[in-house]
Amino acid sequence: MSGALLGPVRRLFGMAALIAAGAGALSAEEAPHLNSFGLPGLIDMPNGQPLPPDSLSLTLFGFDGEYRTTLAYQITPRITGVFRYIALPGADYFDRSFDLHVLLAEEGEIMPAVRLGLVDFGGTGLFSSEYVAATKEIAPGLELTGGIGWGRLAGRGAFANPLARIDDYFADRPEGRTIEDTGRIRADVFFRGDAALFGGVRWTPTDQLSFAAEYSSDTYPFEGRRLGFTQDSPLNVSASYRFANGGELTAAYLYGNTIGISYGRTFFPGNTAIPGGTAAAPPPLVPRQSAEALGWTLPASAPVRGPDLLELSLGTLGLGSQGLTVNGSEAVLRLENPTYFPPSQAIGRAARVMANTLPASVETLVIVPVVAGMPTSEIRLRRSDLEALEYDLDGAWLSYARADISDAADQPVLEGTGFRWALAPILRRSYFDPDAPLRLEAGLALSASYNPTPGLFFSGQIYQPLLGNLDSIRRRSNSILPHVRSDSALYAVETETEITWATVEQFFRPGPNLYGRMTVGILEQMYGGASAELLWRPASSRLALGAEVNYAVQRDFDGLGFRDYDVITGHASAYYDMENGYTARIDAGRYLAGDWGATFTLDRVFANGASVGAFFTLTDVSFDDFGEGAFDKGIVISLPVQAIAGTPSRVRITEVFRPVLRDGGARLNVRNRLYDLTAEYGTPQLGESWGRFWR
Amino acid sequence: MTRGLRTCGAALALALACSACGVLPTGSGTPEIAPPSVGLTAGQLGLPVLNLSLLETGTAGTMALVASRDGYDTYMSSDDISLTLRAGMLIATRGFGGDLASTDASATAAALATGSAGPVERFHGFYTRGEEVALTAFVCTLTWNGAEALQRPGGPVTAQRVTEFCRSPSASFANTFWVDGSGRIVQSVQWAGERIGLVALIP
Repeated sequence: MSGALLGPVRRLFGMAALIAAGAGALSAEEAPHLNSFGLPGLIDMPNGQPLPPDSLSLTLFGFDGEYRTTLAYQITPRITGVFRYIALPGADYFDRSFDLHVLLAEEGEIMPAVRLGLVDFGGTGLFSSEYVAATKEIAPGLELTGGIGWGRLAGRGAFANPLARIDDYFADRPEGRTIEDTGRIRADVFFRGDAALFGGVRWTPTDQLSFAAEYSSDTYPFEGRRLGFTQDSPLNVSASYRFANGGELTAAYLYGNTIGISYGRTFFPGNTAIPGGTAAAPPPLVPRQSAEALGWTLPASAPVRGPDLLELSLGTLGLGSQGLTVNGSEAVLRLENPTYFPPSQAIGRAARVMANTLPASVETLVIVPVVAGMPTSEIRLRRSDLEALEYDLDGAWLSYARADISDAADQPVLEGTGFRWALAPILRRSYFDPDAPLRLEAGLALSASYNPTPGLFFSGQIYQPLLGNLDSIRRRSNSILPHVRSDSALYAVETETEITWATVEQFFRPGPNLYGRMTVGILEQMYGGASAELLWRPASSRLALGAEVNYAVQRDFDGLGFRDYDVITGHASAYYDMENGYTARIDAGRYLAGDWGATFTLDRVFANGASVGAFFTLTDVSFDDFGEGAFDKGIVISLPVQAIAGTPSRVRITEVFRPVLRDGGARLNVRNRLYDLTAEYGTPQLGESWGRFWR
Repeated sequence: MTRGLRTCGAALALALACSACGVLPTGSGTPEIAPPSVGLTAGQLGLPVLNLSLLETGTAGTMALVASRDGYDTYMSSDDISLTLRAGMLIATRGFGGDLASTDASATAAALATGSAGPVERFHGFYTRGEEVALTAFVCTLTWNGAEALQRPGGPVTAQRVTEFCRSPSASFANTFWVDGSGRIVQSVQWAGERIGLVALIP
């Protein structure tokens, strides 16, 4: 057999694994049947069941001139948050709305699953409704649903609100919402006014097929007025087919005279597509060798010496050294990791490279991940532990338990990373413009950075749009505040080639547990100026505190000069990792329009780096002055490419969905905020994804 | 075709990612993951080799021994996939995707060496979708099926064929070992987890 070419095994197998990952079949509990409003339910009507925990569902629905896109996230096992975009182009009506749904009771042997929902609680109110629905599987594959609805769900067969027997408050529902009310939570309508019953049955004979029939209590009054839509029957029927990828296509015969089509799919952002990823195998540990054998005693003129071997080995793995010091039996490596996420994979690989290239006498291996020239945490490993645990059954956990992790402020980074550049395709998106709900622009971005000494970066990016319709936005801001964000479309319209940023940055560690940043230059698409930030984040603390102050000058729409608007803006921030997968954050201070207030953010952060979160900002700008939407709020979904594709990568896809972008509560988008840069090297996060250490 | 799709998907993902640009100041003109350091013919290197085939996909290849330490032998393919064996027992895989993280099959190894039928326990660690390693215990019985003659490069070899049937609440599989008179595993078919399946290993 000697002389045989070593076969490429992965090339074929990896492909198969990728396909298998994409086709990973969901079990019935993981694949809810989504109704036309993107909720677990029948056809138009909701049911009593929740979405699977930590799942994210996307549903597209269309019929007779009405289109609904719904994003639903199961925030906790009981609470579902929903963002929905409804377009009725024929009526020139476009609506962004939020729902909240709460599971009151899980399905039991006898008792049904019961869910309560507040639909469109902050929108214009055209779809505003509340319900309580119950669902029980009465035979395998056969579910019965019944419910009571208020608001729009009390359109047919309405009767006096039973809650009015408790209190007259519930007898009548306040009317008269206007566009100015949009975005305000109208708790004063909840469960008020007449109520009506709805219900139906769902039959799911196989994993692929499902059928539903329902009696709907929704009479579509708005569609009747604006689109002339009439109903001939309260009964709807549907048939659904589920594809191998988990997506479900549904066709429904609606209200006796029309057909609707929907497609829904449920995702699990916290689930990495390919467990452990598809990175090439790490270098296995080899027996210790002497300093002589490894080239540590060669003269400086020798072509490949010990230190060179270490750097070469790191480079082969996509890692880099920003300085190695060996002091007696201890070696400290400042590790650059442009390749791997979760970081434990980079740390585990660097540890093996150190063990394979350092003399046998070195017993303590210290790895200091470097971020933007700053030493973060130091991970102190005993070489004999590595040797004992490499193939141990419980080696991942034991290697974490035996590692000492602490702040590395006193381990100075010795080298910069020099000159780097990249040319990358970019796809820019804009959502919810009534003229074109989804706008796209494809372009090329050339970025470069020069890092001569640790922490000092000269960098910039030039962006050339090539193809798209971002530059044809015609709607103009009617904001009565300074147009600090609402003119953002004008930049795409008037800029030919954009300097996305051009900055000088200095990152530093002012002291133990402290991180610092100063940035000067063109900071973002709309602002230039100066920014300074200080962060207190101990290596093993759930709490971090930060402060940032900026002087920002608005850029010209063509990107070449500056406008006559400048502002001092800044925030004090508190970050708290609840260690149950949630991170809370408060940023309080002065915003771009000079308004004072605070932003509240809650993120579900998964071990694989994916996160789903929501935020809102309240400032001293009144809801009336803010305009449509009343206050700034939105949803942020961030997915590491590694978790989707399996290939090693630190790139992530981040999407911010705001119902409307206006000028109150607007923050400067300065790059490289310190918490986001460094949090992954604190022990809460580092430990959660340590499973990659030996991978 | 599939490869093209994959590249296209990756480019799209990259494009989506960059438009939200929080790219690190280091940019991304960083070192590429270089070609494997063992991408040479085994003959040139004079290294012991391991032939393997994945029974579920039919993929076959050859790996070279790149590290031996404390009884653990790690073999690597030219495209940097590795397998680690301990006295012929599959311990770990790296680089397939959905890899076998770790194994404790010491009871099986002892039973093979002594000619016992078990039952024995074996333990496997698998990477999870949540970035942990999940440990699973299996209870196994060994069946000695009698001697078979194997054609090997060095000439015919007589070996006992032993089937190890293992089950846990969530999975079951059957390994097959061919064991020679001195208790050494001559060749085997071993399970590497739900995603990789059975791997035939011929030294």
